[in-house]
Parts: sequence; C-alpha cells; structure tokens
Amino acid sequence: MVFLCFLIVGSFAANAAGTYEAADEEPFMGSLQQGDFTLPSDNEEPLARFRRITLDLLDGFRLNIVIFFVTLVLALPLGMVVTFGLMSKLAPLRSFCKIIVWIVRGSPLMLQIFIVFFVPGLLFDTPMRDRMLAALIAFVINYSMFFAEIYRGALENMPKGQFEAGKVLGLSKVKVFFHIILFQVIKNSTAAIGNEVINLIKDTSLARVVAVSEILMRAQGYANLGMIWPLFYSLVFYLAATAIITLLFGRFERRLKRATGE
Amino acid sequence: MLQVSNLCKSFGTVKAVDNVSFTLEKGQTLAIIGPSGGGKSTILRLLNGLEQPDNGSILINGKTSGTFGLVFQDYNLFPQYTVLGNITLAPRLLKKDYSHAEEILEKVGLLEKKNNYPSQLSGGQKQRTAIARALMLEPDILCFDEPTSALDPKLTEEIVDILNEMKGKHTIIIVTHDMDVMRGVADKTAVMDGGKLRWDE
Ligand SMILES: Nc1ncnc2c1ncn2[C@@H]1O[C@H](COP(=O)(O)OP(=O)(O)O)[C@@H](O)[C@H]1O
Ligand SMILES: [Mg+2]
Repeated sequence: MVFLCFLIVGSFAANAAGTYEAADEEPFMGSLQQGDFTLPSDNEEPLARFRRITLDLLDGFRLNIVIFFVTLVLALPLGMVVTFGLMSKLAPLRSFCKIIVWIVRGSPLMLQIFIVFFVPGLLFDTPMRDRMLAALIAFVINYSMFFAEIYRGALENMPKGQFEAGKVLGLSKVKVFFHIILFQVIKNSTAAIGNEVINLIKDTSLARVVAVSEILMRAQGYANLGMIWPLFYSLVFYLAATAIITLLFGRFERRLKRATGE
Repeated sequence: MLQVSNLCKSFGTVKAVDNVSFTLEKGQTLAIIGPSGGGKSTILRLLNGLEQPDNGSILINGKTSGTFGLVFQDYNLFPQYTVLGNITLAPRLLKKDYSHAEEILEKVGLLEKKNNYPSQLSGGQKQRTAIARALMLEPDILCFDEPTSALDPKLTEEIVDILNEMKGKHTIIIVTHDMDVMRGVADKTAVMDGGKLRWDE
C-alpha cells in the first residue's frame, strides 16, 4: 500500500509539468471511442503482465489525480466567489447565482462534461479540441457550486456578534471578512468539504465519457478484451487515494482545532 | 462630553428607544437599569453605530466624530486569536499603536493568560479580555452591555472591581438589569423601560 502511494505521488510529481496524453490532437467527434489496447500475448510472463498493466493503470490514474488537484485548487476559492454572489445585496445577481447553482447541482456531472465538450462546437463552430480541458472546466464549475453552498451554510451560521465586534473596533467589512470571518467559515466547512473531496476523487473517472484515458477507461479496455481483473485492481488505486485524502484532511482539521486552542 | 438628543429607534411597531435625551460629562460613569426588553441594548447599539437611529443626534464634544467602544454581553471574542491577538487585532489592522497591550492586560489582571485562546478562558477571563480589547483603542466613551449577567457572584465582584478601577479615568456607560451591582460604581443612574429613559435620583 505504502509503495503504491509512493508510486502515485511520484508519478504525479514527475508529470506535474502538465503533459497529459489525453490532450492530443485527435479530430473532434471521432475521438470518442476506446483507445487502442494491445492484446496480451500468450507467452507474456504473468508477473511481467502484471507489471505492465499496473504501470498502465497508474499512468491512467495520473490523469485522475491531475483532475483532482486542478479542481480543488480552482474550485475551492471559486466557490467562495460564488458564495458572495449568493449572499449579495443585489437581488438580480443573487437570483442569477442561485439559478446557476441549482442547474449545476441538479444535473449529472457526466452531462455537464458532455455539454462543455460539445456545446462550443455546436453553438460557435469552434469545437473543443482538448478533451482533458473540457473535463477540467466541467469539474471546476461543478465543484465550485457544491463548495459555494457549503461556504454559504457556514457563513450564515456565523454568530452575528463576530461581524459586530469587528465593526465596533472600526474594521472595514473586507478586513472583518479576511481577518475574523474567513478562518471560522473554513473551519466550519472542513467536514463537509472533506466529504466532497472524497466524492471528487471518485468522480474523476467520469472524464472517460469524453475519452480522457483515465484509469477506469483503461481498465475497461482490458475488460473488453476479456481480461476482467484490471477492473477490480483499479479499486486499489481509489482506496489508496481516499486513504491518503482522509489522512490529510484529518490532519488539517486537527490543525484548525489547535489554532483555536481546542 | 456626550450629548444624546431625541434619539429614536423603532423595530416595526416596537419603539425600542423612544425620544431619549441625556448628557454625560467626561470621566463620569452612567448606569442604565431596567427590565429585559426595555431598550437598553438598543441604546448602546445606536451609540456604537450598530443600528442607525430613526431620529436624533449623538455628539461628543459637539462633534459626530467621537469614538465609542462596546463590551458585548456575550463577549464576541475571536476564537482563532489568543488574548493578546484579540486585543491587538484592530490596532494592528488599523496601523495604530499597540505597544500598550501588555500594560492593559496587566490592568485587567490577564497578563499571564495572554497566550491563551478564548476557548481556554473562564467567563470572567473572557469578560476581561473583551474589556481589554475595547480599551486598546482608547474610545471616548466605553459601553458595557450586561457585564455581569453571565457571571457568578465572585466573578461579578472581580468585574465590579475592574469597573471601579477604571472609574474617573474613562467615561463609561453600563447597562444592566442588576441594580444592586452597579449602585456603588455609577455616578448617575437612569431607568430604561418601554424605550423611555428617566433619571433615578
Ligand atoms: N433587531 C431587532 N429587530 C426587532 N426587534 C428588536 C431588535 N432589537 C431589539 N428589538 C426589540 O426592541 C426592544 C428592546 O430590546 P433591547 O434593546 O434588546 O432591550 P434590553 O437590552 O433592555 O433587554 C425589544 O422589544 C426587542 O424585542
Ligand atoms: Mg439587552
């Protein structure tokens, strides 16, 4: 398990420069088929085959991890921006944000990935060439809305006295938000965010609907050739990732607790 | 000198503060006593700019630019900052002097708790942190909303001692429903009921 974690992190670090194979220049519609999978030759050593398939799945899981991190890094702050919209004093902006949140949260992520991938081509005749980019955009938008709702809940549950104490001390609204409120909103959001983050790592597999060759797409490729075990094997990668995420989040939560002397 | 004239504030049909006028000399301590719902907190909130008055004026030395400080009934300390962090946050962010922070903590008897977080303090210590935080900005008028309502008799005595210590050096308004506690502290007392203020001689 530890070795596997090491492999995942290592392969991610090695590819952090951002060269993912899914972003190649295949034509627009023709790209939505399974990739090529070499038939396992009969004289391949079982161990060599295991090694080859492990590396292949790992190569696919790298894409899942890229989607995971890019989504987190962009959607966590973006969610806060949407929260400001949801709680804005301007009624039209507030309604607009509410409708967007409702649409995004109320529809399947898979559909959203399709929409981001196909709609630019259908509407503006500029097809989305980069399938990975399409998936990333859909993920970031989708998760921003979920995070926004979590932040909104935490913000609405803030004791009014915290804002008032800041105001009475002569602090501007911006200073009150960044120096008094934000920390408490983050602290009160971590449990809910933690759940979403676990969902996110599992959701990353949906990128295969636009043929991003992530881990499940590869495992499915083997299954289509009559080799089922890589499909089950891919489970290990997910469980390893969720174990690491749970560990890190637990640590983060303890750290936030310590920051208030608890 | 604080001069409050014809102050009015309604919430819907409730006249929380109904045409209240009074003056308070520099260095004096005023206690406002009255039943719950009488409008005491609303007066303090108006003075501190947390509510906008429907009518009336609040002047310090004839100007509207005077400063108020407020010690909240439930303290409203910032949980992520230590005692020292709580009391220096505003002056740090406002780029004001905060070199007197430890001196003020000494005054309220909290110096040895300066690195504790609010979650690690007793009710009385939280109250004293809140007092120290308000004192840091050296407001013209310092307001207390029910400073002893959440404290047991022994802690109440401690806070009364601190108030007595501050007496004369600061201009203070204390709001309370506990008449006995404030008798000794106040130079003037007034009763607030149904939004009306009347003097109690
Ligand atoms: N924000 C508010 N909205 C509506 N009514 C309020 C509000 N604040 C105070 N009131 C009402 O104003 C009256 C005076 O309240 P308050 O000033 O809190 O009294 P006290 O502090 O003397 O107990 C009460 O009837 C209370 O219900
Ligand atoms: Mg009150």
